[in-house]
Amino acid sequence: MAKIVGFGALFGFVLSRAGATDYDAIRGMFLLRDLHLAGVMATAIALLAVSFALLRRRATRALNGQGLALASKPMTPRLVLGGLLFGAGWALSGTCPGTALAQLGEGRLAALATLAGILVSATTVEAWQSRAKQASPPGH
Amino acid sequence: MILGLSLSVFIGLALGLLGGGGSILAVPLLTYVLGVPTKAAIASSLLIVGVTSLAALVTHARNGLVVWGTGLPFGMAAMLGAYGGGTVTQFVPDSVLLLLFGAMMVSTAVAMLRGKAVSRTSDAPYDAPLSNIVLHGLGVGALAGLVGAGGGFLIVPALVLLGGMPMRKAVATSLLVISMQSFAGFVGHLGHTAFPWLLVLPMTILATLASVLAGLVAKKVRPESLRRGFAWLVMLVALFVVAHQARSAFGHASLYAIVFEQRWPWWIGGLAVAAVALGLLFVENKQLGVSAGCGELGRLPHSPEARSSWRPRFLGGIVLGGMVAALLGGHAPTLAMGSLDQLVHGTAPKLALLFGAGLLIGGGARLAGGCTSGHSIIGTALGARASWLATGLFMVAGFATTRLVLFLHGGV
Repeated sequence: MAKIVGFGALFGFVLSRAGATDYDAIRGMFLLRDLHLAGVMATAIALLAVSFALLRRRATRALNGQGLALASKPMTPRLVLGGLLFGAGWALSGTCPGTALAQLGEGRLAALATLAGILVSATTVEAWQSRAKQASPPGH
Repeated sequence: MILGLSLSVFIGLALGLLGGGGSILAVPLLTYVLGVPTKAAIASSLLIVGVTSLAALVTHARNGLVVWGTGLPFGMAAMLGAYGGGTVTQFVPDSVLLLLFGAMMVSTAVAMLRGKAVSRTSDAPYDAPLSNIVLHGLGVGALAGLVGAGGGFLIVPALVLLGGMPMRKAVATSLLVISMQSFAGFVGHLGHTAFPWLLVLPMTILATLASVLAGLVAKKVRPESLRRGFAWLVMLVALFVVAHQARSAFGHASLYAIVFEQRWPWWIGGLAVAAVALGLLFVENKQLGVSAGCGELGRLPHSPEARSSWRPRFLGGIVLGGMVAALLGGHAPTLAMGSLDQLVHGTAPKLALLFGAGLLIGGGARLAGGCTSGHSIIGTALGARASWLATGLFMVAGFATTRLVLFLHGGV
């Protein structure tokens, strides 16, 4: 489990060093003035797409001997509403869940407010979703 | 000053609960927060820790947890060693002392985190031969006197890992050893160090009160949590010390600036993100994603399922990583948030706006089934239609919102 913390720390460090925790970098991307972060995302997506394709073709196994835990997320109607809300929040705060955590670590204390909002609503929506799932029969 | 004093409460809590960690906290507190020179800080910490652990020792001894037969010879040897170390310390440069301190802390933290299996044999008697006890005592004492650590973070592991003493007894016995050798080390410093008495006395009193309090509740805390808390505390402070040292040692080099100070080029950033995602997948077989963990984080207090999940740990790691980046890059804590400070005036409205935006982010991500990491980086790379759609929506809403803000604000 210490390794998980280590990977988290690496991710946070990379997000910070790549400038993803910078409010103005996000704003710059949405204003099309600074495409740095779009470049970061595009590079990561391209590299990962090639890697995932190769790993899947070779049926590579993870270190624990099992098949790689790669799963595509399902298409749901509520994805549309969620996607729009998320995008609005992303632009307003200049951060997403991962970078908000890294911001807090960096000592950008205002991120505490963002994180509080994220935690409250993520927990509430999850509770609501699991109740809705119990009420209706399973299946998407 | 007030900050420093209130932080000294933690010194007492650590000593009373964990039987160590006092000087680990006291030395950085004195040097970095209160600006005391390294050697004076080391000497002061010895006094603070000596008095504090003596007080905590009384509470623990009443509970019958102190193993005197081991503690006394160990302590005698440690006093000798500490006096020697304290005398030699004036010939060693400060940076070497602090680096030594950092290295020692990291290795101790790792040993404590890994030591699970050993200490489960908790009822085995501690019957190491006297010569071993004395030898360990000498070594621990010398190191402690040298770097000004009372040495609890070495003594507790020595008793637990080498001798198989139960955690609670090791904590109590370590307090005996710490107070003996702290006073000895203090005497070793007396001749050649100036003390900031006005700072040291109130800190000692506060830490002592906290340690007595902690000694009273120590019985109710699980030993397993004690050890983990101890290890992580030590690790965190070590990170802080080492980062500070690295910066003052290499801060002027251009390679250092490229890696730790300037923003990475976009392609390096993308490469690094991909590397972390692949590492996490291959080593731990986990698919990178942050927002599902946010929901689990909120359920942490009342859901055992969330507590055993990998996600909250991963999220905690992200905070740690940001901290390391800021420490190495030389960024101090701040309330500023880039040009948002020009869009919204005043701290309270800014925090309110961020909280509201956070509500949109958290709920939106859970409804959408992922966020920037899960959908826009991993999902798209997997070729999932849902993730491409989600990413498109994120972007469209992001563009629209930014434009709207710009329009409402009259064009900044």
